[in-house]
Amino acid sequence: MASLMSLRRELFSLARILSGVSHLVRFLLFFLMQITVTEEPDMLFQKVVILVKGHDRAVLDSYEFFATMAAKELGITIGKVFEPPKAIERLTLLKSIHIFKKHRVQYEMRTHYRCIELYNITGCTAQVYLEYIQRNLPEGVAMEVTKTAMEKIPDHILEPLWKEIPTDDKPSQ
Amino acid sequence: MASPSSKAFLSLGRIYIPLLGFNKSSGKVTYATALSINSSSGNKGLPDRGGRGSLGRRPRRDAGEPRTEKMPVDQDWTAVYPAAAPFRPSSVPLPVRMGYPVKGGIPPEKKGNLELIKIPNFLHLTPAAIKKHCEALKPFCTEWPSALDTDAKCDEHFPIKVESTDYVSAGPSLRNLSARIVHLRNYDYAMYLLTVLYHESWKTEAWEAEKTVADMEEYSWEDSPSQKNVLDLLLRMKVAGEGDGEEVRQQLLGRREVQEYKDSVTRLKNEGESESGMVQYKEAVKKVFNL
Repeated sequence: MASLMSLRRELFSLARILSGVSHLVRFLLFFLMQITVTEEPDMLFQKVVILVKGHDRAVLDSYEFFATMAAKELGITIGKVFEPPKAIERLTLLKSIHIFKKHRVQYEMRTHYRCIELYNITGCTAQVYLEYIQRNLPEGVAMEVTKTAMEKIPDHILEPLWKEIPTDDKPSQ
Repeated sequence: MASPSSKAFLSLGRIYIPLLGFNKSSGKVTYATALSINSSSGNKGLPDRGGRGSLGRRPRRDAGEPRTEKMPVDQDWTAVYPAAAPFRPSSVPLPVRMGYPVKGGIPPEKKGNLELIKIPNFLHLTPAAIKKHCEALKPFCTEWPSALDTDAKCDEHFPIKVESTDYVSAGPSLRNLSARIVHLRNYDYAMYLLTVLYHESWKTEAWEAEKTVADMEEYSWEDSPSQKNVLDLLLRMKVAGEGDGEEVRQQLLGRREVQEYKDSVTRLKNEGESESGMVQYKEAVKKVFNL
C-alpha cells in the first residue's frame, strides 16, 4: 500500500488560540503560530470512545452537543452517541447520633453517563480534538478515553529470525 | 436557618398590607437568596460609626444600569463570554429563572441567584464560538487516508490493534484508581511476547510427525470413511459400465453436490448437531442422490 504521508504537527500555541479566539486570532496567525511538519508517521486510531460521567444530566446533554458539533466541524466521523444507564449509589444512615435505630436517613449519588464513539481518526486530529474537548470539560464531570490504535506488523516478525542466518541451527527444546 | 422564620414574619406582614391598598408582592421579599438580603439593607444612607467601622467607612457606589440594557441584538457573543466564566446576571440578556418555587410562586429571578452561579454554564461554547475555535484548529488536523475506507482493508494492512485508556478527573487526590486496571503490562512487553510466540510457532518437534487421525482438532473430509462411502455409492448407482477408476472418482469429487455434502458433513462434525446443520445435511443428501 502507498506509504502514509502522515505528518506530525506541534500544538505550539493551541492554548493561546483557545483562550482568546475572537480578536487575537489575526495577530496570532501572523506572528506566533508555528506549525512544524515532521515526517514521522502518524498514528491511526480505528476507534476512539469517549465516556463522560457526571452528576447532572443537563450538563452532559450540553456537553454532548458541544462535542458532537466540534467533531462535525473538524470533519471526524461520529459513530454512536448514546447514554448508558445511570448508576445510583445509595446509603442508609442513622438519623440520630445516639439510639433511635428505627429512624434512618437515606442518601443517594447518581452518576449519569454519555458515550461518544468516533471512527477512523488520525493521531494528530485525535490529539487536537481531545485536547479541545478536555480543556472545555465542565466542573464536576469526569472523562475516560479508550483509543484503539492500528499498527503494522513489526519488521522483525515478518520472517523468523533464523531464516536470515542459515548457518545457525536453533535447537528445539 | 433564618429564612423560614423571616418568611413567616414577612408573610404575616403581607396579610395586613393588602388592606392598606398595597397589593404588589415582590419576589425579593418572600425568598431568601444569597445577595438579596444585603442589597435590601444597604449601607449608603448612614455609615455605622459606632460599632463596625470598617463596613461603612466609604459610601458605596451605584451599580448603574446592567450591561444587558446596552447590548445590541446582533452583537458578537463570543466577545461577551470568550472563556469559561461564572454566570453574570448583568451580562446575560435572558430572563432566566432557576430554583424551586415557593408555594404558589415562580422560580426566583436571575439577579442574585446562587443556583445559576453553581451550575456549570456553556455560555462560552455557543455554536458560533465552536465554529470559530474549529476554524482556528483546522490547520493542526490531518486527514484520514482515503484508501483505508473499509474495516477489511484496515485489518489487512494494519492487523495489530493496541488499546489504551486515558482518564480525566478532578478530586482531592492526584490518582485515578481505574488507571490501575490493565490487561497487559506495557507495550514493549506485548511486542516482545508477540515476537516470542511467532518464533515458537515456527518450531516443530520430532514427535509432531506422529499425529494420527484421532489427534486432529478438526474434522477433515478428505480421506475419511464418509468420502469413501459416498463415492462408492455414487459409482454403484450411476455408471455400472464405466468401471472403478481414479479419474472417475476425481470427477465425482469435483461435482457441486458432492462439495455441498462435504460442507454439511464437516459442519456437523465440527460444530456439533444443530437444527440448521441437520437441515443443510438433509438438503445436501437429497441433491447428491437426486431424491
